[in-house]
Amino acid sequence: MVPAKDGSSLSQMRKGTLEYCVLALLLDKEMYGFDLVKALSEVDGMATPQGTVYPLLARLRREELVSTEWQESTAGPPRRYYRITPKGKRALKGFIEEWRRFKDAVDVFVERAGK
Amino acid sequence: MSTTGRAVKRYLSKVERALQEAGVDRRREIVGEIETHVREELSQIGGDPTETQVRSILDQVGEPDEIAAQEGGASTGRSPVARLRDLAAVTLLLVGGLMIYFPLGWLAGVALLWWSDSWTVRDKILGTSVVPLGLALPIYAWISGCGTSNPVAAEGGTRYVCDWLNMPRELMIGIVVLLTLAALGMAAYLCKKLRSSGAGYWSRSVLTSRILVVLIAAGAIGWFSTTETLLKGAGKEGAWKVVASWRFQYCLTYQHALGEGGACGLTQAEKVGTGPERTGLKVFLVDDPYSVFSGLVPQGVERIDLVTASGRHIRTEFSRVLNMTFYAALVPGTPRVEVVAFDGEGNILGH
Repeated sequence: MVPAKDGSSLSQMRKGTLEYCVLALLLDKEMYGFDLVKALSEVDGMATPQGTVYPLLARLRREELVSTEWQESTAGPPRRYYRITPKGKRALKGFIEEWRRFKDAVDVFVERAGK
Repeated sequence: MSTTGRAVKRYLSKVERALQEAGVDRRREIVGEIETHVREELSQIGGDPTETQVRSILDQVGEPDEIAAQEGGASTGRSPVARLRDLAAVTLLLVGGLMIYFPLGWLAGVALLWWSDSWTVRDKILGTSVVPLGLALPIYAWISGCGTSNPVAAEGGTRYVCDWLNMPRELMIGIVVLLTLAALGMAAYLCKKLRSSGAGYWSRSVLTSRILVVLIAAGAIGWFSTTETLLKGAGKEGAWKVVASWRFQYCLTYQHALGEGGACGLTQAEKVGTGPERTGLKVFLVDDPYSVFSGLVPQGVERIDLVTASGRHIRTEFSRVLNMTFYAALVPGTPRVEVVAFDGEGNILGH
């Protein structure tokens, strides 16, 4: 389940990386907002109050990192689907490189301390 | 509506309130998506969800404040249109009064200020009431009050007294400087108090002030269109005779117009203003786009018509004299004004 208040360092790290996780999720296929939120919440450590993902999506859309499209649904009202844009792909690519460097750098210290 | 439906609705309106700082489009988008999300969760339960189930779903979606915090952190501020609007508001409040069609420029600034969702009501009140007319107030106060100042013999030499209110010139300078600084300070204050993002359309205070703006604007338009009708009527009647015609230069000299004659058209006013008391018709006309007319009713005069150089009639009943003052000020480039005075039966006075 979703912890409302969790370890603050995890929450801090998630704040900066959640949007790239969203972009990464969208890399293979476009997704319905609800499914996207569910997919995020299934991964431990990335679970965040589900409602907070929507403001994030709205911002990504405004920054043109994702685009949205309404699609008819067999059940219920039309659904808004999110799709990554070329700009979003570039942003994600940049982040992945930085993330690897960052992760390695943190590991250098953390692994030693953990021993 | 079922209890669960009500709980969802209550939750969504809480989210909407929490997102007050976001613009209307974004708020609608986010609340819409969250609503879809909740409905989707509910539909997966199938059948009528129990209260506990609904509460658990809403808990997972998160506290409205948490959602709003995510929005706030990502806020990129007001839209370009809102930015332009707020910039125009501050600019017009400061210098709008100096533009042609005084004081419309400043009034437009006031309307924009109150329309905006970027200031609190308190700041709006301050922005309107601290130095009304902005820089125009000190500048016009100087021009009309002290454009000419009269040397007055006093003990130990000559002392200069402004025409307006017989004020010593030094005092007037002090007041003008103070008003100028206050106007500039107010503009700076408004810029500083700009919210990073608008309060949104549906905040109660914004809605109230927007309704106020619309009502006042409608009232003003109604008021002026009445005058406009009067003007048109005056134009058609035609046969009135001009009994006096003058050119005035800045003649806002209260005493001159009233008493000793000469300087500013008192002699001419005498031609028009008849009646036993000869209280006179005070005509203050400034020969520039910011013409100001004001009249005091001489005995027996019921209305006055002004004819501008463009042949336009401005006619007024004296009950509307203030209205006319305002209107005359709105006629740009009024270089020459003719005054005709009538009594209640429409007879021309002054012959």
